[in-house]
This record gives sequence, structure tokens and C-alpha cells, in this order.
Amino acid sequence: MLPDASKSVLAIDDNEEILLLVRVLLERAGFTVDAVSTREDALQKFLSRRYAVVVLDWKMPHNGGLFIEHLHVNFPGSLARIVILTAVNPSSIPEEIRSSICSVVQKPFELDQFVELITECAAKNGVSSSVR
Amino acid sequence: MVAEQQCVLLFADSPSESPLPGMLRRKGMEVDTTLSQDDALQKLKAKHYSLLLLDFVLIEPDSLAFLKQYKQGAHQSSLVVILLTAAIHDMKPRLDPDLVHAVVRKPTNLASLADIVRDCTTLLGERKRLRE
Repeated sequence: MLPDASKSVLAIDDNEEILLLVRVLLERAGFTVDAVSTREDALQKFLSRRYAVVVLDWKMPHNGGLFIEHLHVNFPGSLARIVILTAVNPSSIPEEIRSSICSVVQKPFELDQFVELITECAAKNGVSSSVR
Repeated sequence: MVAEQQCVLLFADSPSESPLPGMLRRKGMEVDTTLSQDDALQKLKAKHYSLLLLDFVLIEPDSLAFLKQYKQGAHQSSLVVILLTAAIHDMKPRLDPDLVHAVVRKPTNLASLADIVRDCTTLLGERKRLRE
């Protein structure tokens, strides 16, 4: 049986420690977390099931921005589920992306705040069967 | 097969009577404490720690020099680094996200933090066993 999509998160980061922390925090908050470190794995996961939130490292190899562009073109409406993790100032992320996604979190993130933000994002993006 | 005990290093920049070491030990972790950068670096080089907790009142520009040096030494594996501080707004802009993965605002629920640390170290231990 597939996990509840409304509590499912896809986490994408090439930093293993960050992925681990994200997984621990969100699983403790009741989410099911798929954690991957490459764009290819991310796309495979994204195509295989529905996620309430996608947590994406902006600077991962192959550029988080390209992944977002792919989602935007092929899965309209999916950007609202994205939370970007970034080591740089969030204002350096293009405005057209920032205005389309759920949120931007600057690393290092605050543990409690991060969980609250993901929870809010998941609640906003109630997953329906017609929208990937 | 008995799970290997996971080790946590707690670096507090001012002597305190934090209950955290005791709480972590009661949850089955081995905990070492240190008050100086030199000692922290020596400990990191001598033993495998899964997680480094930094309990800092203040962060100076060179407060994390030991950690930078340790990471440049290209040692092992994963080391999750979490900073505890009350001065979060002052400190965050000065933190290198490649050195510190997450921050915790003090005061905080230490019992919850101890559970997070335990879950992180458990996952890291499982990962290490899979790789061996």
C-alpha cells in the first residue's frame, strides 16, 4: 500500500548529512520521506508517486534550477510543492522561481522552523489525483 | 548482532551544567565533551563521531576554525553538525553551511533534541554497517 501522498516528501540534496537530517526531522513529524541525491533519481521518484512537498537543494549537481524548469514545463502546478534549500542568499534565486514555489529556506536551517514550514506547505498542497 | 554504540561530541564554549550529555547517554549514545577547539580537533581525529553538537553563546569569526581544519583533513564519513544557540539571528549570517548543517534556537526542548540526535546517529550507524 502506498504511503499517504499528503504526508509524503521527496528530499533532493547531494549532501548526505542534510538528507539525513531532513529525513529524521520529517519522519518524526509523521511524514514519509524519500531521500535522493541525484537529479535522475529525483525524477524517477517524482514520476513514480505523488508528493505533497519536494525539498530541493538549489546548488546540487546538475543544478536544482534545471530540475525546477523540467517540472514547470512537464508538470504545471507542481512548483507550488517545492521548497528550496539554499546556502546562498534567497534573493539570488530568480524572482520568477521564488514566486512560483512554496518557500525558500537558507542553510543552515533551524530545526523547528523547517518542520513547521514543510508542514504548512504540505497542508497548502493537498494532493489530488489529477495533479502530479 | 549488537548495534555499535554511536558517538556524539558536545562542544560547549562556556562551562555549563547542560543535562544534554546525560540525556544522550541514557538514550544509548556515547558522549564526549570538550571546551576547546584544540581538544575538539584532537577528539575528532582520534575517534569516529556521528554527530557534533556545538553549544555556543557567541560565534566569533574563527570559532569554527577547528571544524574547517578537520574537514580539510579529508577524514571519513558523515559528521552531522548542529549548533545550539540563543543568539540565532546574530549567528546565522556568519555560519558556513558547509560546516554547520542545522541550528537549534535556545531555549529548546532538550528531550526532543536528544531524540533527534539519537535518530540521526542510529541512521548513520546503519549506513556505516551497510557500507562495510
